[in-house]
Amino acid sequence: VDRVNTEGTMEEDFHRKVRMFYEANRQGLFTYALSMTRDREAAEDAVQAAVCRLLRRGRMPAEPRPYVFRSVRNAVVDVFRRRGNDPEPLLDVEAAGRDGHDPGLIRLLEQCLGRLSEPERETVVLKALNGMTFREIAAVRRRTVATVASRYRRGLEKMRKMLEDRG
Amino acid sequence: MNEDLEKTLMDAPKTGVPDSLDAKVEAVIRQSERGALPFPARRMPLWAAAAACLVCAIIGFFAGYGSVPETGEAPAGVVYVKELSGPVPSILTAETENNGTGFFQKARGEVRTIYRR
Repeated sequence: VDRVNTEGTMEEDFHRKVRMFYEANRQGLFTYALSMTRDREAAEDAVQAAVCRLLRRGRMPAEPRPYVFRSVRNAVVDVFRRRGNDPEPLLDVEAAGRDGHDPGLIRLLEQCLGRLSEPERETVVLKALNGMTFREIAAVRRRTVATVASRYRRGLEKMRKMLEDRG
Repeated sequence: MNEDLEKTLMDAPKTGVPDSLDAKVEAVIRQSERGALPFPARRMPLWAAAAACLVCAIIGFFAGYGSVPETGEAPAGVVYVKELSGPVPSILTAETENNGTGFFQKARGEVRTIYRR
């Protein structure tokens, strides 16, 4: 009976941790999935698939963030290809106006992000938009820290030049 | 300069998480709590499923064809039927001796009945 109770408590604890993890990372996971699919529905499905994978695992990984972000990536790569000719924006221009940001700048940033190569955009989204560390990104992408850091710097540099060219 | 850009990106409002995603995730967590998490239904393009079917069928055909021995080769073995009476031994013998058209059409076996002394 004790063992059953302990297992039950562990299970409850696991589900509580999954909920907490999702609450803390829902925006980041969705933005990341959206940056690859550029399709809202496909991004939702990819995040759901990643959470399902975590739940099937039955226990939290030592580093949940790289694990789940990598699952999102795998779901996108395996199943959900980029679709449509009208990519979903990553940044919310309407909200920018309400929040006191410059909507023109946010629109410009969106365009710049769209012009980066996929590896560069992915790294910029994970680092600058989601605040992940290079070490976490390296775990998600299965690349070295030096590689992701270089991609990130190259991506930012490209964006900066694009912004300068547009005044 | 890059630091400014980094900060702007960090603070930029992102496209919000749709309520439907929260509902989907909550649904799978609840299913998991009930121990009823469904097997992942991976989306597979129809052409990929059809191609996989075709490949399996081709492999199966050649594997099956290759495993059937050609007639005229040495017998594969002897089947000993212990003190069987009735039609079974004769059916088995007839089938193997006459290259019958039934189940033993391509059998290369020999049937011998052993009688108790």
